[in-house]
Formats: sequence, C-alpha cells, structure tokens
Amino acid sequence: MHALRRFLETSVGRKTVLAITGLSLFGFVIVHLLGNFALFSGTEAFNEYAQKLEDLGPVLMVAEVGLLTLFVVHMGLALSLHRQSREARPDDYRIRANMGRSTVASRSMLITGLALGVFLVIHITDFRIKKIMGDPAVADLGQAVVERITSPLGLVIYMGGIIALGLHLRHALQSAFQTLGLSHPRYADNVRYVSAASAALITLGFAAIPLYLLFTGQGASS
Amino acid sequence: MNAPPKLDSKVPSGILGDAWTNHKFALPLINPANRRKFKIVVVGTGLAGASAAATLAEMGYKVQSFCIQDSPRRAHSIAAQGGINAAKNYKGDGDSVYRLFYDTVKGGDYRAREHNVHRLAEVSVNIIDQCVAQGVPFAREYGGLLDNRSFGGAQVSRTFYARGQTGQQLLLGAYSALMRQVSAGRVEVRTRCEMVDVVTLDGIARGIITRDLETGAFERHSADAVLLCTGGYSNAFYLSTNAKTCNVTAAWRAHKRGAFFANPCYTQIHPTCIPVSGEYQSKLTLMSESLRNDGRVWVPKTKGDQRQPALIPESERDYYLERRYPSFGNLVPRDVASRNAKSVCDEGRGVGSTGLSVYLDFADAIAREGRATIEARYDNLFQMYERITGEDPYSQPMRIFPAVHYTMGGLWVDYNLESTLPGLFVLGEANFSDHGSNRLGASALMQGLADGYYVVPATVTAHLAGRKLERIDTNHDAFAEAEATSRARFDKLLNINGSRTVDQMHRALGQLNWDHCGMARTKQGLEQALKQVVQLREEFWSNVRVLGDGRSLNQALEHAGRVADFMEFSELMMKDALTREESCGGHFREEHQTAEGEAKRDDENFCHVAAWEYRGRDQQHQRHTEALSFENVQLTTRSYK
Amino acid sequence: MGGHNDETLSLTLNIWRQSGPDTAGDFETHSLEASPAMSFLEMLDVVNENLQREGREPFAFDHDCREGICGMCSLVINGKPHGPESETTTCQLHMRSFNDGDVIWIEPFRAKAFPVLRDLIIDRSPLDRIIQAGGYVSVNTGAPQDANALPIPKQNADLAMDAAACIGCGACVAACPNAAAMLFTAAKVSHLALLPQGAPERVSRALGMVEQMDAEGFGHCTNHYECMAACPKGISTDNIARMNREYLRASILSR
Repeated sequence: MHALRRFLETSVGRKTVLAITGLSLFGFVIVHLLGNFALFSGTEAFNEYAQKLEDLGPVLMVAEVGLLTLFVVHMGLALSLHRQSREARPDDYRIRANMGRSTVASRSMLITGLALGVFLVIHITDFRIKKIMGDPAVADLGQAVVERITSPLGLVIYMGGIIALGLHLRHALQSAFQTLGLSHPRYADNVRYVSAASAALITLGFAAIPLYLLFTGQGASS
Repeated sequence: MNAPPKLDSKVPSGILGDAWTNHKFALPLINPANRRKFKIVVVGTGLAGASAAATLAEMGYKVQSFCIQDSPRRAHSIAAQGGINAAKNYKGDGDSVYRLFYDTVKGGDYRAREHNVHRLAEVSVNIIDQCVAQGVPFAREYGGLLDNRSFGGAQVSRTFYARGQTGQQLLLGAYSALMRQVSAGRVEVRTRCEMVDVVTLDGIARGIITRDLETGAFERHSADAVLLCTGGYSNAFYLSTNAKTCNVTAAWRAHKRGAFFANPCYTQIHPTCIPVSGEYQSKLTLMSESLRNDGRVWVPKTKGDQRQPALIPESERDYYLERRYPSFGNLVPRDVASRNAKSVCDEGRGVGSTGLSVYLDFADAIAREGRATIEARYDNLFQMYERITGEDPYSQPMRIFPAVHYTMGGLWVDYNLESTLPGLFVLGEANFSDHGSNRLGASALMQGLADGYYVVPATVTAHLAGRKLERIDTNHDAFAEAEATSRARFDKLLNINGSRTVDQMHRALGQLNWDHCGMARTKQGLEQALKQVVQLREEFWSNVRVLGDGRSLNQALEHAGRVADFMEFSELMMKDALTREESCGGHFREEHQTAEGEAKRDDENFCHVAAWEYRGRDQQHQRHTEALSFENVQLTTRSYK
Repeated sequence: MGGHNDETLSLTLNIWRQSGPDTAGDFETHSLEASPAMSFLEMLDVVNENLQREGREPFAFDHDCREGICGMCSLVINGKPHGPESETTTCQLHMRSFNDGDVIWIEPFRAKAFPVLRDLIIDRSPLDRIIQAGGYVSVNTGAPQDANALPIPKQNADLAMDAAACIGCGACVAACPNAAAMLFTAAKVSHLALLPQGAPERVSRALGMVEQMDAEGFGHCTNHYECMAACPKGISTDNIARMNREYLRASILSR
C-alpha cells in the first residue's frame, strides 16, 4: 500500500486516478443516455427499463455505491489538484494573454465540474431518492421525468446540466488519454476528433429527449 | 631563448604517442578512501568546469562549484553550434589520432605545444564514448550509427554533432553528471556567485573569495586545489559572439596573484556572424560555420554595386574565396576567411546598408540538393537569421561579417594544466594551450571536455598527493586580506558617482580594441591605442557611474567590476600584440604579410609562447617565453591555395 | 516582418519594479523611441541607459547569450512568456514585431516556485533540483564502450533530440494556468526514456523527478497545452503523455 500512497501523493498519480474515474463516469453517462432513449418509445417503455434495473436488487445497490464512490473520488481529486495549482501561483499576472492552445472547455473544467455536481444533486433528489423513499410522485417514473424536464424551470436546469456535461467532456476525453499516456503522434489527432465528436453526440443525445417530447406534444404542459 | 625556470612546461619526454599514457602512469595516485579529505573548488560550469567538477566528485573528492548564472546549465559552452571533433574514423576516410593532431598543430599555425595537442587528439575518442554513454543525442544515420560531417576546413569527416545545438547537448550531458553528484552530496553548486579573488598561502592557491550576486555578501572558500574554467575574454571587444556575462575577471584576478597570462593577443575572429545593424547593438550572433559547407561567399566585382543580389549576374560576382583558394574554397580556416572578408569590405565591395558584410549564398546548394536537404541541415540557423534580420535566407543570400568569437590566449599552464601559481589549474578556453594562435572549428568543445573529463582529474590528483598541503582555515590573514581588497574595490566603484555608465565605458573600450587590436593590427595603431586605453581606464575609475548599493542584486555593479578588469587586461593584450612582430593565426600584423597579403610568421624569433608576469600596480609586466619545438610536424607556411 | 527599418516606434512601457523578494512590486511607466531592428533586450538596455543617465536605477533582468539558447532570459510581455512570436526567446524577439504607439506590459514569470529576486529576475533553482532527482544517466567518467557499439534507430535519436532541446527557461511554467512544470520535467524524462542509455534507471527517474516537481510547489497539469505554445523550442506535449506513461509504468513496477 506504500506504493499506492506514494502514487496518490503526486499530482501525476492523482491525475491518473482522475482520468480513470472520469472515463468510468463517461461510460456510465453513455449507459444512462441509452437508457433515457427509452423515452422516445413512451413512458411505459421507460418504466419497464427502470423496473428491470430495480429487479437487479443488490447488484443495483453495489453499482450505485460504486458510482457514488467514483463521483466522490473524481470530485475530491479534482478539488485537491485545483488547490495545488491555485497555491502554485499566488500572485497572478496583471496582464494575461491566452497562448492559443487552451480552450473555453479546458479553462472551465472546474466550473463545469461543479455545475455537474449541483445538477447531479438536484437530479438524484428529484428522482432516485424519492423513488427509494417510495414517494408517490414518482410512482410513474417515466411520467415524472417527462413532466420535470419539459417544465420551464426543469428544462433550464436540464439543459444547463447538459451543456456543462458537453463542455466538460469536450476537454475531458482527450485530456484523459493524454494523462494516461495513451497518446501517440500517429493517432493523437484521431483521439482529439473522436473525443470532440463523442462529447457532441452525447450532448445532442441528451438535449434531444426533452426537445422531442416538447415537439411531439408529450410535455408537461400538454 | 631558453625558458626561465618559471616556465617549466613539464612536457614528458619519449615517443609522442606514448607520452600521455606514460605521464599518467608516473603521476602519483590517492587511495579512494582518502580522497574525501580533499576539497576542490571549481570556478565555472561550462564544458570544462562541469565535466571536471563531476569527474572529481565521482572520484571521491569534495567539490564546490561556482557559476555566475542562475544555473550551471547556462554557461556559454551551450551556444556552440557546429560540433565536436574526434578521431574516430567512423567514415573510413583516412582519419586518425595522428591526423587530428597534425591538423590541429598546423591549423594553430605552429604556436601550440605538440604534446598537448597530441593528448587532445588521443582523448577525443574517449569523449565521444563518454558523451554517448550519458545519453547525448548525437545525430545518427538510418542504420543507427553516429553521423559525422566535415567541418571548418577539415578534409575528413570527423565532426560529431547534435543538430545545430552540439554545445548545448554536450553541456547538458556534463551538467547532468554534475547534478547527479549534487544529489549524491559530493558537489555543492553555488549559482549567482562570482569569484572575485584567489587566495594564496606560501605561494600556493588555497581558496577563493566570492561575491554572492543576490545578496552582495563576500564569502571565503578554502580549497586544496582551485580550478578556473572561466572561459575567454572576447567581451573585451564589447561586441562579440560571447554571452553578455563572459568576462576575464577570474583569470585576471588569478593573474594578479601570480598566474602568468599567455599569448593574450591571439583572438579568433569568426567569419560567419550576423552583421551589426545599429549603435544599440549589444552582441553579435554567430552562425555555425558549417554553413560554409554549402554556402558560397561572394561580393560584387565592382565597388559600390548597390543592386539587389538577385540582380547581379553571375559574371559580375566575385566568389573571392573560391578564386583565391581553389583547393579549400569556402572552407579555408577562420582567420583566412575573416581577413578576406575585411579586405573586400575595405576595398568598398562590402554589401548591405553599412557596407560591412559579404554574401553567403545558398542558391546553388538549394538547386543542387533541394530545399528539404538544406532545411534538414540548417533550418534552425536559417530561422535564427531571419528572426534577427527580417530577411529570408532561402530566397536571398545571407549577409555575414566577422566577429570576435574565441580567444586562444589565456592563463599559461604546463602539461598538467597547472598555472604558474601552484595549486591553480586552468581549463578550457581560460587557458592558452592546445589551439596555438588559431583554433580549428569543432575543437573548443573537444578541448573543454578533454581538460575536464580526462586531463585534470589525473593531474590534480598528482598535485594533492605530491604537495604537502597544510590545513587551512578561512580565518587566516590571507583570506582576510583578499576579502578586504575585494570589498574595497566594489565600494570604490559605488562611490565614484561620475557621469558615464558602465556600458558606455565598455563600448568605448571595445571600439578601441576592435579598431586597433582586431582583425589586423599595426605597430602605430597599437602604440596609439595603448595610450588611449590607459586614459580610458583612468576615466573609468574617476567618472563611471554605478547606482544602487552593494548589498543586493546589482547588475550594473557586477558589470562594472568586470569592465574594470577588461580595462587592465586590454592593455596587456595590446602590449602582447605589439611585441609579437609577426603574423600568425588570429594575430595579423599588417607589417608582416606576404606580397599576396597572407600572414607571415617569424619562426626564428617568435616560435614561442609569450607569458606575461604581473609585477605589481606600478610595475611593467614582464614577458617570459617558452620555446616551442616541433619534432613531429614540420614547420611550414600554411597554404590553403 | 521587416520592411520598415528606417522608422522608429513610439512605445509606452509598463515595467515591473520590485526591490526584493519580500517587498511588494508595481509597474513603472516609461516611454521610448525604439528602432524596429533592435532586439527586445536591446530596447530594455536603452531604457536602462536612459534611467542611469537620469540617476535612476536600471531595471534588473536576466539575460546572457542573447542568441536563444542559454535559457537565461525570461519576461512575460503583454501576457505572453517570451512575447508574441512563436518559438522565439525574449532575446531573439525583435522590435519589428511591435507597432508604433504600442503599450507594452513587461512582467516577471510568476509562480510560487519562482520567487522574484528583483524587478524582472526570478529564482529558477527548482528546475535544477528536478534534474538532480534523476535527470541523468549514472555513468562515471571512465572508459565506456565504443560509441557505435550501441546503435540507436534514427527515429528515436531524433525524438530524443527534440525533447533534449529544452533550454530550461521556465516559460512552460510561466504560461501554464496552473504554474505546472510538466513540460520541463517531461522533456528530460522523455529524452532519456527514448534512449537505451536511459533504460536502467527508467523507474527511479520517473518517480524521482515527478515527486520533486510536486515538492517544489508547482501546479498540476490540466492539459491546456499552453506550455507547448509558449515553449521557445517548440517542445511537444507528446512528451508529457510519455512521462505520464513512464510514471504509471514506474509506479506499477517499483518495489
């Protein structure tokens, strides 16, 4: 365990774990998105899918605890690394120019990350906690979701969260490859394109759901 | 012409090829366990200093290393571009240790010691092995073996290189070895710390006084041996290719404590530098003379031809080096190339707005080998040229002019690299040995590393083993005296409060040296300059203005201390140039030339080293000589026709 | 570039003035007529000459070779380390890169690990200590095998040279939003990782240098790649990926 502690004491080690947890969470996001696509086939299909997950019982619990751990570790490491970097430059420049390589996405990782954290808390309290508590408001989970994400406030929060996610992923994916040393001049460009494309697809995928619902008149107001 | 006993060169007798091996065997050794009892001070962290400090520490000595930059990696060796010679004969083109030796003696215009040069050629082979073992990324061929090129007038390919950054890579190799010893606790490196005096006790060098450039604090450091690896004095000319902080101070301070200064008039003017653009010019930039492998040097045939180079037809161009030296062409040695550039400019055929430059044209090379090949060879140099001049050398010829680049003169040392002040060893450009009156290209790196990695570790050991060295305490009067002298000197500089800045005074000195002690020298000019330099020095000490205080970082004060020493040194350089009534290598006296304008040596009267002894403030320097004998290479007139 | 060599530039310069490491600093404003053919440091030389003639102390700034290789010069010019031109050190930057009437802000490199010593001069000794932590091949001076006994593929030798070209100026740290020294450290780790000579100490080198880098108080890498854009030698961030890989490998293999 000494080796692990030594590993986690360096910024490169912590970044490695950050990248691995990040990629795992990315995997979860994909699964989550695919699950949400059930809404395109109506709330029943969605509820069926949700029930299948519920039926997993203890497996689901383990997965949820695992996910929570990933989130906590990912955020904890990000914050500790961020602190290290803030301390590394106590007096900032009076004039600061961009050298031209950093992007809006790369510079806003902390903000988009924190926004995602807030979104997640809202998201989990809205649905998962209520579900576990047996709140009747989410007895028909599919309907509850549809109402929530098509209501004006819900839509704003949802879209905000999705944009934060998209921006976060935009930088995170290729960054994780770089951090894990999975970079090679021969396919580095492809890694960048693929990660940009997947960030875009995921953003569009999530954004499509409420828009589809609204345009097909299945929204909360209908 | 017998050398007085003060100049015992200690050159071993016997066959040239065995001399170094036999000499090393005869030198006493010190048991590994006893070495840590000895402390060695190494001043300077260039190739010579870093390699010596690292090697001595590896052997087990306690080493203290000093540099004036903020890191040992920044010493000026880093700027050498072209390469390093070694008699490996990897190209199978007939090279050998003997040929490298022969070329170096001949290239030095027969003013170097045969034995020193032969040793240099011998260890050149080990240097490459050592550097490769350290991970120096020399250029390689597709088969994975090391690449070589022909360089600076050599007719064999013996130059190893790392792009255009050979000096940098070799220095980083030596620096990494030094850092390894720092982490092992055997070397203490003091950065931003300048040696301001040598401390002697019973006629032996036993330590140094330094000034911490951050705090201004004077410090005393005792030692069992002191190594000066402090580079050359090109900045006496103000404009040179040397880094701005290169200076003669450490050598000059040692000189005033008893180390003779040899051949100060041997200064090398490098033919391929970027010309001066204005009066604010702070330094000159050298471009590797490897450029002359592919570039053709020319000027217009007619005086004052102001046309753009592309508009001057082939028939109206004078490729003067190819014309005058058909067998060497553009690859004649540096001094020959420089002097020829000066003479065509003196004729009024120089190009550019100042008329002080000649063309170096790559059009033919690009047409012959393609732009890609030329890019692969020289792109970093071409980019550097464009950055500085705003002109693109791929589409128009470069403009070049000679500039002071290297100094062959330096503190006199014997075969063991020990100066006339026992216990004080001098390495690299700071000593006078090996290059005679002219250094061949790619030989400076070789000499610095030979001295540091291979020569001095053997000979310093002999000094430590052979002499009875009393324990010395820095409370000793000798330290107190040296420190007080240094303090007083800096205090004085701060209190003159005159009206001219240090930089102004330095420029004035540089102009004087360049005009009268530069590429071509005359008796009359030197005599006049000698008077002016004394006046300039007096003005310096009465009218210089150094602001700020001595208790914190003060760059003007640092500079003032160095310029003060250049002022004194320049007088000696001129005196040496005046006394040497011949032309040889980097020393060209207009009175001594052939009908064709070539240098005319006087082997009868000047086949010797001139070593100057400092005899006190109000005394004249005394000139000593060490006769040079050539038993292996016949004395002939150099001819590059 | 070029073209207007006879003109002069009227400049307003805001230059950082700080008397020592423990005192607060601020900008001082000066105006200057400069020639486009001057180097940036020659322009500062002129400022300093003028100041001294007026009896005011010159600005302290680091410089040495003035040909872009020693790594001594620094400065953040209008927010960019080594100024606006790519792959150009401050000493190689020429005033033709600026326009008449420009306002130029000149600051020191800023990082906790690089404290300001005076005006524009900083302490970069942490970089030496990172090298001390493993940036070498442990070979004593002696009689190693013949240099050609160890063939190295040209491609690797070239990549190693690309990484070894680092001049240790610290611009990567200065440009990094996190003040990280990753590019500097990675350049050395990569140079030696690409060569067989570096293989025996791969593990200890990667661990030692990364740990030292953190111990010096540098920030962490968030892969902005600003360092690569600021690097006067154009060192690639591929080297950072290689170091990450080396470090991960070393962590798994170390005992």
